[in-house]
Amino acid sequence: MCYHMSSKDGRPAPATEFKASPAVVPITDVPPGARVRHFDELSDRTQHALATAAPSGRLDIDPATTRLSRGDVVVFTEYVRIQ
Amino acid sequence: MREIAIHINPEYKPRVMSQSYVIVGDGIAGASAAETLREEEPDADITIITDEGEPLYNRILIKEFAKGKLPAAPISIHEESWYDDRDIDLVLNTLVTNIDPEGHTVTAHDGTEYEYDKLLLAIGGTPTQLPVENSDAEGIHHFWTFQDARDIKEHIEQADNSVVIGAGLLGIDLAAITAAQDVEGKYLMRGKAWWRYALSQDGAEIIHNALRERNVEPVFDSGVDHFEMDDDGVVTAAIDPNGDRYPADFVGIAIGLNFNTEIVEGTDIECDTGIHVDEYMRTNHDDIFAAGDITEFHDVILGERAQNGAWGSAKEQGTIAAKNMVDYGSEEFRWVSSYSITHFDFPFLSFGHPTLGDDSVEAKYSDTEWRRLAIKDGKIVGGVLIGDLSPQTKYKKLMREQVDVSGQLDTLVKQDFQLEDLEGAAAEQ
Repeated sequence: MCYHMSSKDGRPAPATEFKASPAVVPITDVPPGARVRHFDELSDRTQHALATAAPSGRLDIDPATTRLSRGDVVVFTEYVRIQ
Repeated sequence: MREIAIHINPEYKPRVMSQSYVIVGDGIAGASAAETLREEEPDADITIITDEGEPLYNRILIKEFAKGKLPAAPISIHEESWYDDRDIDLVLNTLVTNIDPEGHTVTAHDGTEYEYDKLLLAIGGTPTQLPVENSDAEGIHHFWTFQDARDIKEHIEQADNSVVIGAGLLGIDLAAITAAQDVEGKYLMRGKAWWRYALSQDGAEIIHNALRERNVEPVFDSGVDHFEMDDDGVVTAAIDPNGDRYPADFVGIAIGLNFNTEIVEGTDIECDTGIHVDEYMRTNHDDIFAAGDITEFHDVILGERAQNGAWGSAKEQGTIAAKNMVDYGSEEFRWVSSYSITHFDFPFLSFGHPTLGDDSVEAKYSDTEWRRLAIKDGKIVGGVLIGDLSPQTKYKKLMREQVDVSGQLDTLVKQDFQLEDLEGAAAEQ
């Protein structure tokens, strides 16, 4: 398993990573192998998107600039997974 | 006499022999510096020396591990192969005990000497011990390293009742760990509110209620006079200064950090509670830099020295330090830090320096929504948001750009505040 250092994670995900705006879904268990990020590791922009996520879970953020990748788990007021 | 004309090519840059960089500390500041140095100088010799027994891990996730919510694997950030792949020498379990700035060497506890051209001190801090009777009893924990988290998790899973001491951002992690592990607890605080230097009673009460809902009872005007222990040296209770007794087989203490300045005390490297650095992370020695918790840095936004222990701040300081070790003056540290608490149903975020300032403004919007901004010389220098984090980017922008918000404090805490609501020069930002 390979975990990346945060500064590497600051690079934008490949444009093909997300076909639409990323969304978050609450989870109770962390899937094996998932990369886990704390809310404090995210950029201001991504924090804002997560804190104001629509009821659908959709993040109002440009997919090409997000620091998150599909499958990442974020520790916020609950654990959420990016998809 | 013949005249000799010397032509100087302004584009000429002298070739420099490969530099030798030594980094003391493999936390996020040290590791981000090493990564940046390798990117900036592919041929440099880079050595990281750490007294810990494992490579970089995610310090802000270890509380989730101790709560029993997160397995150990995602906590690790670097395998040892990460260093090998980048030709970085990682020296574990090694405490640097001496620095010779003139000789450009550091010496480890085992006598090994390491030479450097440029040195980075990212040596962080150590939890402050509570100077009371029996504070070294078995079952009393401090919370700083991954190993601390492992010990806490192993113990709290067997515990029946707990006491937590330290009404700040680290103490509440310990309280949340006891709550998550379903261990009844008392949270002893010296004042009348949690984090009383940054929150008013209104704001703190939201946190108090959230703790009570999780079976952790805040106890105010309290603290610890001494601990009781059994014949085996295991803690059994905390006795507060009022004489009240709180039975506990688990005790967590988080009353602050002592910054690891011992190794510079025999040198003329300037330090106070931390090591003094300028906005480029350089000490008063040209070849010695510092980054992370250990620094008292010149905060260009605040206009005075400051310390900050947030993860993002430490990471940025490491990166900035590395850039200036390679090319001094190339980039200054200009940063608005933030720190969040994710233990409750509602979010909590502090930013900047919420305990400083000469004025403040606050507003409560509901039982779980509250804001306070700290103001200094008419400008935002920090704040705390509970419940609704959506204004944080606006407040941070105003702070970063040092916008004068004098006379408009009430506007700032309108529930749906927008930057356009500001008048005058502030509105032009």
